[in-house]
Amino acid sequence: MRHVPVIVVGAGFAGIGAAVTLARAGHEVLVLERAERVGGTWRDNHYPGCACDVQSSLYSFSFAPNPSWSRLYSTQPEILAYLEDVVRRFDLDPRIRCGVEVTGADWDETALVWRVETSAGPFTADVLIGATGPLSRPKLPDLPGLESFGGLLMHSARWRDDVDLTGKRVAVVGTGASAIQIVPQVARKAAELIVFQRTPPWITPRGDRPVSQRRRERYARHPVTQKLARGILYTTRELLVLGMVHRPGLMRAVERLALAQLRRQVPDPGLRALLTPNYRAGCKRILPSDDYYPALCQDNVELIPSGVARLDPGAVIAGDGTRREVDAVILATGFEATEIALAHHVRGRDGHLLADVWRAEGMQALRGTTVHGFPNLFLLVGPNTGLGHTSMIHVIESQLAYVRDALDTMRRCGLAALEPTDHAQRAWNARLQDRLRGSVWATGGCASWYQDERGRITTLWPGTTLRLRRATRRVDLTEYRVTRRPPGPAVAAVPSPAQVRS
Amino acid sequence: MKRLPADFLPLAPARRLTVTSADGARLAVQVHGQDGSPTVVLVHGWTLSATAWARVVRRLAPQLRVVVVDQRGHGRSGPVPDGGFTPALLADDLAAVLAATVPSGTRAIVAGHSMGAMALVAFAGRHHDLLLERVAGGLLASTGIEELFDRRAVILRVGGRRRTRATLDAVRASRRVGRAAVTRAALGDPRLLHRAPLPLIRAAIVQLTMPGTATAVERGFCTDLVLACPPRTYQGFAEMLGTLDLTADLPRLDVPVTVLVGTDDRLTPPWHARRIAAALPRPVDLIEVPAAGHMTPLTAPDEVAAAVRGLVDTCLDARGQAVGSGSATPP
Repeated sequence: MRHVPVIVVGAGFAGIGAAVTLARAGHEVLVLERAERVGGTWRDNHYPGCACDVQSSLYSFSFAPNPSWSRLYSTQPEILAYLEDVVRRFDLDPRIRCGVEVTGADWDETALVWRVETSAGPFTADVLIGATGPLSRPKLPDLPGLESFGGLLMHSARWRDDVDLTGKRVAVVGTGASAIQIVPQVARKAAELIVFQRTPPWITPRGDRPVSQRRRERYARHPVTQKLARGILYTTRELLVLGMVHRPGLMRAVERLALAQLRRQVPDPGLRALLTPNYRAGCKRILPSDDYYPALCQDNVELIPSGVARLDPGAVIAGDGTRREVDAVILATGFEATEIALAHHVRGRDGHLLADVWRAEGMQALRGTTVHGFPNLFLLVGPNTGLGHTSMIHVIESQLAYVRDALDTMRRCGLAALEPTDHAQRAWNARLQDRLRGSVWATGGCASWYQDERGRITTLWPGTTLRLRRATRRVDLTEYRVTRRPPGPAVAAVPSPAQVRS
Repeated sequence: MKRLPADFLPLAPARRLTVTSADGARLAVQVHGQDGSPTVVLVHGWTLSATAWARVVRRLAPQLRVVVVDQRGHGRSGPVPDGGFTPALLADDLAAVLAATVPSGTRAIVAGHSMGAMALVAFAGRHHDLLLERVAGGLLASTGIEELFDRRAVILRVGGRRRTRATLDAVRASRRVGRAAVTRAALGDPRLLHRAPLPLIRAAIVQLTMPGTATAVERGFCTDLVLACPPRTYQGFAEMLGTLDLTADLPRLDVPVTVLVGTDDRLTPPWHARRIAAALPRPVDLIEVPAAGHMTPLTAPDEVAAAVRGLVDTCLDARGQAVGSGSATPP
């Protein structure tokens, strides 16, 4: 049994950010990553065309600026390289163990530690930080005939690089963020590409372009100029919240922008009509793209305005009965975003699985981070911390400030355990749900992955990211039940992560 | 958030195929409905595309096998090769499509709108054997086969009041030559469609093709369709239409044919329909749709679908076999 003060599960943006932030504050951290390398979402998703919807100057850590982004919106390989570079820059290698999967974590109320089962043996930890993220488990549609299809079948997040789609007949299921990036790429190669669309997304001009060498040099020499660019991006994006949360009617401005592009890029009024959304922009994620619509106008690409009902051997059958014979099916069907993967492995004070606790009422936490019944558990990108308008990295850094303050407070005051009170958590969620009620996600007239099966929005933060930052600046101990460290020898003979590693 | 009414949305075809015409032009073809049902082939007009038939397809597809063609240079079909803007090539295109989509041993109803109907007439003249083999009947909707630019009945607005047709008739004779020249120049110039201010273009298209009773949705859908036409296609066929004369081919269209026209058609006024009906060897019916303009498949889908259905009922049995085999053969 090895003891580590802080175990972080997952080495994506959140896990790496946690390692940097907490190590700087003098906390011993060990990051456990189930895959063989770091990167999280940006490692798992490597389909052709994979890129971020947020400009890179904004979609990066404030403490690790990168002046050398080659484009306004970076592609996946560049983002993954950035994360690996952060690991190098902050010398995190000794604090991260790849290839170790957490299979269970139980809170031991007597010893006041987390007992963590992993593929590399058991650990104990004072604090467990879940950084598994909402976009880690692919959502596979429950389609009849999925097994009998016979051809190539893959989820967008499990792309097989060994497969060449040149000259193939390919079906793409879904028109979400992944699909609109995949379609233009596959359309170049495939003999036929058939896109199955349940609901058309709102698509805004992306305006992606390379960052000039001059500008990159300026960013490197005068980091403040990139900070300024970041600030401008942040502010303009933040304006969207006004419409999304408070005045959905304001989203009409976005709709006009999107419809103008649709009109420009899709001449045929029939196809254009099929691509025109009939719900308020923002209700589902707004997708920036300059090449999705032109791809759909290509001769070898067809849009079927219906979801997939089932698969036959070698064919896809849509809900409207349309049948298309294909060689390959790409499921761009997204992720189990209303669940946190770790919830299926964590048992709290009463021995209940977090997933079971949440099954009753949907996932919820206090300030998106801590959960009643689960002492010393911190969730990064936890319930209701997601965004529809800007960079998640901002949220992650807000949450990290909160976690860091919690850990500092525990160390300073000699606390062994922090657990949010039921009352505080309920009050927090009541306020959240109240604010969500008038938001575009609730009133926009669509179904989205922001909502769980009960229609409750458990993924999004209803407000500006500044508001979230204020809400997570400090731990308010009145919201917590605290347990003092029992008298006796303080944590003795704790091996350092470096030793654990060897 | 304004979305077209469901009636205008194109249905996903059961099958798509690409047919290569005699001169190598690629034609995009959609097949709706079930194999084994009687076949109807729909051919759209100048500057339009298969999408123009969306409302008609919705009315026919459940029971019939509906083949919809994108004519050369239009919709998803390939560009027109140099020198490819001739009625003979439109006839070859239709021949290739019929050969590829009408199962041998069965015959189809071919419905053409405007330039699509001209293609059918030209096809009868050029591929008469195939006509008898694969075509059981035809619909000529909103079309003409001669003097297309001379007979155009433009309603001039003077002081906000419409001049009556009688007044116009009086002026017509004296102005015909001049107006034909102006029309030829204007319609044949792609700048009209792609460089003039958009509201002006839209107004012009509506004025030419839509009846006063057309809804805003119909007007928008129609102008969008026309604006989607590539300039090269627009100009190439405009030049062809200016000199088109298919009067020699019409007598060879000796299958049962219905002629349909809108009474408010300003591009091919009823004068054409009546002339055609009078000259057809086997006319079935002359349908004048009251207050309809030139875009009958768009604005009068019920009447167009009914006319097609009528032809199916009289000319075909349930399996797509021609009724009274041999009756279509000329005496």
